[in-house]
Amino acid sequence: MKRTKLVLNRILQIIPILLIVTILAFVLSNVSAGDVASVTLQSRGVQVTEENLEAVREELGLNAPMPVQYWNWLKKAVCFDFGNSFQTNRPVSEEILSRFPATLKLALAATLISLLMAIPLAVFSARYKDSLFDHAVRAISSIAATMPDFWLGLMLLYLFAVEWKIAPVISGSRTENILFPAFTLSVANTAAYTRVLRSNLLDAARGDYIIAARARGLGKSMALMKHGLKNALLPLITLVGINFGKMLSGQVAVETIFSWNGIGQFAVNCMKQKDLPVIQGYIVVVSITYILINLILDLIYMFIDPRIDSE
Amino acid sequence: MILMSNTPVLQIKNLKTYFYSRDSVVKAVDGVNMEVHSGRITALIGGSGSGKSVMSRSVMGLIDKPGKIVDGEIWLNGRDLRLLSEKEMRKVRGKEIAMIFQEPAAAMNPVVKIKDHLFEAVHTHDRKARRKDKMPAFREVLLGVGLRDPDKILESYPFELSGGMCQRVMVAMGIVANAGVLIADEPTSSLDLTTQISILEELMSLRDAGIAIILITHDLGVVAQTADDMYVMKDGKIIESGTVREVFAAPKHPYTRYLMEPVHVEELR
Amino acid sequence: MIKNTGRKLLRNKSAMFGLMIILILLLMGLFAGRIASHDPTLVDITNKLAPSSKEYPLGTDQMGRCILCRLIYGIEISMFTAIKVTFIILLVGVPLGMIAGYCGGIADNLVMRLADIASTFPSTLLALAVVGIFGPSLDHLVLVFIFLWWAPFARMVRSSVIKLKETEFVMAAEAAGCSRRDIIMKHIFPNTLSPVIVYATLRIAAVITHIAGFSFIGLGSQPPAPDWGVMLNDGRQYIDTHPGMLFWPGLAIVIVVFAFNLFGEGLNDALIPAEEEMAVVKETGDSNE
Repeated sequence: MKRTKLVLNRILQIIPILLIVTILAFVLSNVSAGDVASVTLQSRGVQVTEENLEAVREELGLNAPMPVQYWNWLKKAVCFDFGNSFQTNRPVSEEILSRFPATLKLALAATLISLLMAIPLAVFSARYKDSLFDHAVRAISSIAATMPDFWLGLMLLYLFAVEWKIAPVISGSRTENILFPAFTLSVANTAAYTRVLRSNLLDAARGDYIIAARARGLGKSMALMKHGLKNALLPLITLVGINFGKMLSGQVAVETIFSWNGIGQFAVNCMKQKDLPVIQGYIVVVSITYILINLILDLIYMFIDPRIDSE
Repeated sequence: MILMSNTPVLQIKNLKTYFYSRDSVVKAVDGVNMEVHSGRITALIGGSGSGKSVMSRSVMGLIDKPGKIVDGEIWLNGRDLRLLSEKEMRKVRGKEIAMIFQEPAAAMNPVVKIKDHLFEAVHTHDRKARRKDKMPAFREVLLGVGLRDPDKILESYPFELSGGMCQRVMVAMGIVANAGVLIADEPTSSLDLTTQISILEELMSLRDAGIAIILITHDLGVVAQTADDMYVMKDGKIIESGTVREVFAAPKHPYTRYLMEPVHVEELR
Repeated sequence: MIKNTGRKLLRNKSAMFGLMIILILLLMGLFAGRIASHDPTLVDITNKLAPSSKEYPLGTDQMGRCILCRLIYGIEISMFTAIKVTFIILLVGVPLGMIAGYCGGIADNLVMRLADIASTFPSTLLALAVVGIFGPSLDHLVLVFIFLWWAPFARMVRSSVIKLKETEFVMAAEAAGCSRRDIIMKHIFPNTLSPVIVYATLRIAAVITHIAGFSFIGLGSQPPAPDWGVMLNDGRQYIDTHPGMLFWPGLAIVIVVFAFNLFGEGLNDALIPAEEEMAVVKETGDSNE
């Protein structure tokens, strides 16, 4: 069956990407290999001497040829063993996984807000094309699409937390404070979804089958909703999924502004401290999540759209 | 032969549909008069850009901006469609006039199954209709338009059917709602020759069942084979009309005569 | 055609407004040394967090540096870098797209696979990796943008090349025995440019936002550089007492980005045939060709 072949093909495509990502993460530690030994020593509180460095290199296997080192590292990485964080001395996987739910919650909330706003806006805007409402939606979405999230976040924080004291200055990853960070994250996506959906709907409205449906007696709105929306939503699924995946890599700026303890902010802080095991772990975990989400999306798409099987 | 009733089901008087762009007006339909009778096929023939497709959409009330019907009357079953509200017009579409299109595959939503298309045609005008109750009727209608395996077709998506099968389904959708007038807009020009013939035969048997058919085409051969009355359209105006026999026997307008020279038949495309 | 496009663009008020802002800012950036009266990195602790005055129109920051002067010097980091980066992205993406479209086969497959990977990679992830390898700086960050953003240009060029290859004038040129190079340079390349120019203009705006964003989280320009993102990060601690430190740099970003978008959309209208006119043709022409 064609579909099975497509699915297999799609899964095979992952392999080169995984390879690139793991090599990237591995090279990261090797380019600064001199650092790895001395940083490891420092993190253990041992004096950095030539002798000690040699011992650590031996211990960490840094003297073996590169491919061997990569293979050894990969074997551990497969089991999510990236060693301990230099800063906290706790296992990297633990550090990352404990922060992942916060990032996930934020991404989910932001996606939900975007869709809840974009779908009705786009449908009304397309139905009443060239009306005042349509013009307003288009103008606002073109401004919103250019608004940098970090500045929007700062301004919202200033207005609502400092000036009007409605929201807390520090959100501290608590679900009841999710509205402002999630909204900040959602604005640019809402604008993008509204524009895409509106133009898809307008394209659909020109399609023969909408006119045919109207010739059968369906009202213009009804024909658009019944026959246009599903077809217009399909391409949007990919866009929403990709953005969701990107959000799961951590939204560093928004997490920083609202003191939301997610993985993005954590990874950047570790970067500044040269906490390499964490960075490696972060790159691998995030990439895999990201690849999986893309895979799931493509699979969903293959099963929703009946056309794929016959092509 | 079926006797011609004296009053036409559909009468179009002085219809004008214009399209407006920033600095020009295109008079796609410019003062057309037409009569369509039950149990007859009325052909509307013209070249590309003559306005015949815009005509059919005007009758259905499906002209969107930047187009507009600026003048005229469209009398159907004793009332002028132009005076109806959009809501009343919706009850006319599909129920009193059905329409089939040039690209049958494009005229059906690719992600909606045939049975749901058929059900929509019924449900739009009969809110109480239940899908389950209608299935036997659907099967019968599909058999009626010459589709042999109705159960399989009901469960298919439009893209899984051939162009000819799709067109038969479109005809079936017109029939399930019991429309008295069927507008067929180039129903065969995207199909191969054998399929063309069988679709035309389908239309003729509908005519014999008493339905009024408007057949829009650029193909004089099709007109000669199937139509009873004909109108020749050029630049938004009707330049010649009459029964097919009359017009073919003695074409009055030079353009019609020009079209009938065998060399020029191709040029209509 | 070029004349017509120019006239259309000149008539588009919002595009001209965008272009005017861009030009003014570029000039300000070019002559930053003359316009700004203070050194953007000169620390004067005695004068820190000063309110707006004649000498410091927007006040000073936590190190006593003139905020307005830093904003003006920031133009170079933000706009100049973005324009340069976009140009490099074009230099990478356009030829790759040409090769993929014109040669097809393995070359096409390879380029498109790479484009798929590049266009779905999260930028934060790549930025962390690159900065991790090479250390934090604006120059290294630029690599991330080049790596990620050549892909849409390559795709765009590829699809127009494929369409053009089928057109009669290219086939005629091939039949007449023109060399490959001549065909590509004379017949294909100029015809792929319109969408590329429009998209590049819009892309500059995106690069500007991203430079500021990454500098804000510490992966781009490093203090004391007068980068608008760095300035925003400096201001974060003073959100309750000196919100101006947050407001002005952000406003500068929004204005620049908005100007590029206005201009880009104007270019789009002028270079690419309008949807409205097409619709009219579609509606009035009969559908039987």
